[in-house]
Amino acid sequence: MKSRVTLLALAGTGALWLAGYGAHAQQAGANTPAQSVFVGYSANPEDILAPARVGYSSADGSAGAQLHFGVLYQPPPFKAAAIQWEPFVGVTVADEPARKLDRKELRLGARALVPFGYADMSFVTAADRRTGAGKDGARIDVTILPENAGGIWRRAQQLGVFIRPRIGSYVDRQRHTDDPVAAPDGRATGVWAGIDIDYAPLVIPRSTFGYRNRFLRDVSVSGARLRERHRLHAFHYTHLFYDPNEAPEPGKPRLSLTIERAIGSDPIEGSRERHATTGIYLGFQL
Amino acid sequence: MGTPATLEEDVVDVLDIQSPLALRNLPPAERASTQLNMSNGFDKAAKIVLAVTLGNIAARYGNGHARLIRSSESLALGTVADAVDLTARAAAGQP
Repeated sequence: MKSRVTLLALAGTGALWLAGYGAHAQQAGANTPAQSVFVGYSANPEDILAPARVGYSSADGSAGAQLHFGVLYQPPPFKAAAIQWEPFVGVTVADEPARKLDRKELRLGARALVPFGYADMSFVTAADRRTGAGKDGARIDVTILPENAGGIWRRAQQLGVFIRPRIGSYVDRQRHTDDPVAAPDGRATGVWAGIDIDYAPLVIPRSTFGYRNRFLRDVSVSGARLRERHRLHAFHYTHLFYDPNEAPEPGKPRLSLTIERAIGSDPIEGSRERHATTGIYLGFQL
Repeated sequence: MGTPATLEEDVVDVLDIQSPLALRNLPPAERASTQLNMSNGFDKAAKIVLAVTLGNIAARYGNGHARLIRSSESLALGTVADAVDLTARAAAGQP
């Protein structure tokens, strides 16, 4: 039942996507926004405009180079049902030997914006070379901005601390597999919740310290899947090598440095096995 | 109600509501160069949703020519002057 509701919601998104695209194609011309193709983005479903990254990571003794790279295309946005919709198509490559990830994916989705939060929803189809597995799925991620509720949220914001509750649901289907242990066949539908906390100290400009956690829980499963729960905790430090207050120059890459320690498992985007990962990455966007 | 509000005043009001800044009380030059960064109350998520409110202001002053503002555009905002400029461009329907 739950999966049917999720799929219906996503089918609705798909229909809106096509409707909006058609509507805009008719009035295309003078009102086209400046940039709509983004190169050098990781197209991570939790942050579709996150910079792409290259670096080095180690997890439980195994280590290696890491690459997350994507290209994102955004057709013009449109308004429907008092919500601003921003469709996107993304192609992503993720290669992480330390966590046994080697995946290429195509993602079709939309961002829905209202003044107190936004939701990213997408369909994905992916191929994982390491497990010989093909998978597809859908997910909705909602980010809430609680500052306008006042109280402790507002006080935290005044101190440069940002608290972002995030919730979502997912459908994750493994179509075929060479490794039934690491990637069992079948479908899992579930919900997740988490919180992002970021702090930018005034004395260290362009630097951010952050913590995020994710709690995932399968609600219904089919095939060879078992109902599972997953937890992920991650700490990161990020430093920007560019002035974020200046408009990006076209063609000139914007670089940043991220050091991250993550403990736990993320069965949808990462690995279903629990890993303790330490990594240092160079983020870039064009 | 006094004189009618301008686009710039509306943008400044929205930024004041969204953040701990008190831009209304600043002299115009200082206000324009105020940065929208994490120590002023704007992280990535806050800038993303600014696209909606700034887009609404643009529609109000656009006289039917306004376009929507993308979240990737509001994410790239640096200063208050940039926010006013982006809203004015969107109101005129320019990229």
